[in-house]
Amino acid sequence: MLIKSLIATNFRKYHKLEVTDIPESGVITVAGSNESGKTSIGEAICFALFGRTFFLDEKNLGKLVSWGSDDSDVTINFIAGDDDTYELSRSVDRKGVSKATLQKINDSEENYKIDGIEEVAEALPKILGFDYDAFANSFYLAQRELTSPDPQSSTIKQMAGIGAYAQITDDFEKSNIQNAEAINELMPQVETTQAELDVIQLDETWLPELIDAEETLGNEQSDREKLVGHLNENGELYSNNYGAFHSARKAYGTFSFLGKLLFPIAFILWVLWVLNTYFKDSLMEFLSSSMTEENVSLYNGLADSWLLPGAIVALVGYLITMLVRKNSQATMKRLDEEAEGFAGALQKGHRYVTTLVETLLPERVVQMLHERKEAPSTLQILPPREQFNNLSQLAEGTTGYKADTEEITAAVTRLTDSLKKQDGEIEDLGKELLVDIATEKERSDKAGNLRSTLQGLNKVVDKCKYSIDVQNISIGLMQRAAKDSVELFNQNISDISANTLPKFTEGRYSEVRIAEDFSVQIYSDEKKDYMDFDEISSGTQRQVMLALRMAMSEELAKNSGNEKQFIFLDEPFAFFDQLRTNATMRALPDVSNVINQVWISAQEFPQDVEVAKAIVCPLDGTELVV
Amino acid sequence: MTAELELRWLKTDSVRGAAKRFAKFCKEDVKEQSEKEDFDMDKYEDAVKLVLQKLDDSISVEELFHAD
Repeated sequence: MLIKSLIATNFRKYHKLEVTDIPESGVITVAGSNESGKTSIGEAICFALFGRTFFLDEKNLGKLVSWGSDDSDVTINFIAGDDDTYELSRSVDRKGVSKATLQKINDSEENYKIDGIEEVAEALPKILGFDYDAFANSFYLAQRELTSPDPQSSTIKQMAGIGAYAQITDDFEKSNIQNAEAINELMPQVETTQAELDVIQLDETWLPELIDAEETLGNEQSDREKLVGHLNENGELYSNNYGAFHSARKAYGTFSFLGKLLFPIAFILWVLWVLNTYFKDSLMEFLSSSMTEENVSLYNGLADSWLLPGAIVALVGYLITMLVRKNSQATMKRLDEEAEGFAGALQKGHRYVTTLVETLLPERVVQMLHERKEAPSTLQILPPREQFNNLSQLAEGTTGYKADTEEITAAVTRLTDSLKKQDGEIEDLGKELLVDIATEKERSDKAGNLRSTLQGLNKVVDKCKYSIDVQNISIGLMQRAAKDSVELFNQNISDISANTLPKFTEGRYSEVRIAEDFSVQIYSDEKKDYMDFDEISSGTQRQVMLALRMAMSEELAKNSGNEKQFIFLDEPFAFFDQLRTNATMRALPDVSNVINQVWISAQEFPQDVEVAKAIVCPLDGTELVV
Repeated sequence: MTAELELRWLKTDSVRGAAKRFAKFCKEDVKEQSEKEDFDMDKYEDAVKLVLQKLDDSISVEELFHAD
């Protein structure tokens, strides 16, 4: 954080204070005799930033207003973070009532402004990276404060970059306690719900088995109903077809015989006609040699008149018999097919009445029904086997309509009666299973609800446990990180001081060794050994401590995200002799790459030291514009 | 996958101040911790994210000015 300008009205002794065009790097001297207003400049910076000063807290701010004025305004313009420029204005009246406005001045829109004491107080540490305490202990160093810092102070922790760890650890520990309490509260609910679930003892395969069994019974019942209808219909049809089939078979036999007779006759007559027509002379000669002339003449007369018509008639007769035979065959085939269907139905019916229904159901369902049934049912008892002994033979006999119609009718009646009885019992079993299914569904729903509740509770418990685990790991991680940061911090302080100290002491002391408790040892080049802090002179102690404090401030700046930082040294040379003051003044512009802007207040400064801006506070007068 | 690769998402450039130092520390610490028997990478990553979330206030600065 670097200061660009500081403007105040009616602040302490100044009715008008304007320090502008402040260079971003170098030494800014604030010179003046006692009561000239040097400290007021430091106070104005502090008030502008944090709404209080080193001497006055928030309750006594009215004392900052100049005599004879009603209120005071201070505006500070600064660079922070990623080179963003901010303007922070505060005012306070005599009663101590103050106001604050913070604006990112490179954002011109009105809503980029934060108004209000509390709002600004909340935003500022996030912008600056440090709070009032850290500022007052690091970037504003009064001569009286050039002592070894308390290693347990929050400022030191902020400097080492571990300031937030304590608060975060505290938050996590509190959160862990809350999570543990939440788990303790939830566990009885988890146990109760689990116990209720255990009581139900839900077997998740049972409901599907029951549903399957009920569907199987439904299908069986439906099949039996269809079969009864089929048997009644086909039994009647069998009786009707019986006569037709046998008539067709008789016709088939008769016309087959006629066909076998007429075909040779037609053939012989045709051969004779051919001989008589085309080979008549030879035929006559042959007949004359073996027959009388009268017989030959008779043959000749008959042959000429009847051979051809006879052959044609025999052929036509043959074709007709073949047609009738084929028709009879088709009729037999159709009737036989119908009989085969009927035979299949009889076989199926036979299978139904000779098969126990329990073989179709899952074992556990059968067991349950057995336990429940007082009287033997269709599950275990089949109709008397002798009723259906000849059923298979009858079924086979239907093919070719060999079985007697009366026997068939009687068998169909027995079979359908048994099937209907089975059908009724299966329907009753199905109804029982529907009741079981409803009960099991109810149990399943209850178990589902309990399981869902349990799942929700366990989810919360697991989340709490996970949160505890993660936060414990976080705490361990921060402890290790803090140890590492402190070691690094001490090393960096030693390194930075080792660079600064020779410049401040003109080479007499070059190395600093810092322990975890911030006890300091100095290496003396003259004595070639480390010396305790108490062994060195008071003036050197203050030089060492200035170097140490500046190194710590540099660390705080880096750990708070400030690549460039100002520091205000309020009369640091009060106990320095001229030589030490000169050496320190010459060294200050170059002691750090981070602490770029060094404000120093003193009564007077050496003439030969180069400064970036010189502010001279008037002993008399209430106006300072520089 | 090595523990180092697991923390690839952790970009030290995107945070500043104490969060930056913490992120750098985690990059080194994870190598040592991952050799322990009971090490759980998921929980470790969540722990890193949790602490970083608490430490990193760079985003909230912008949010402060846009709160209206």
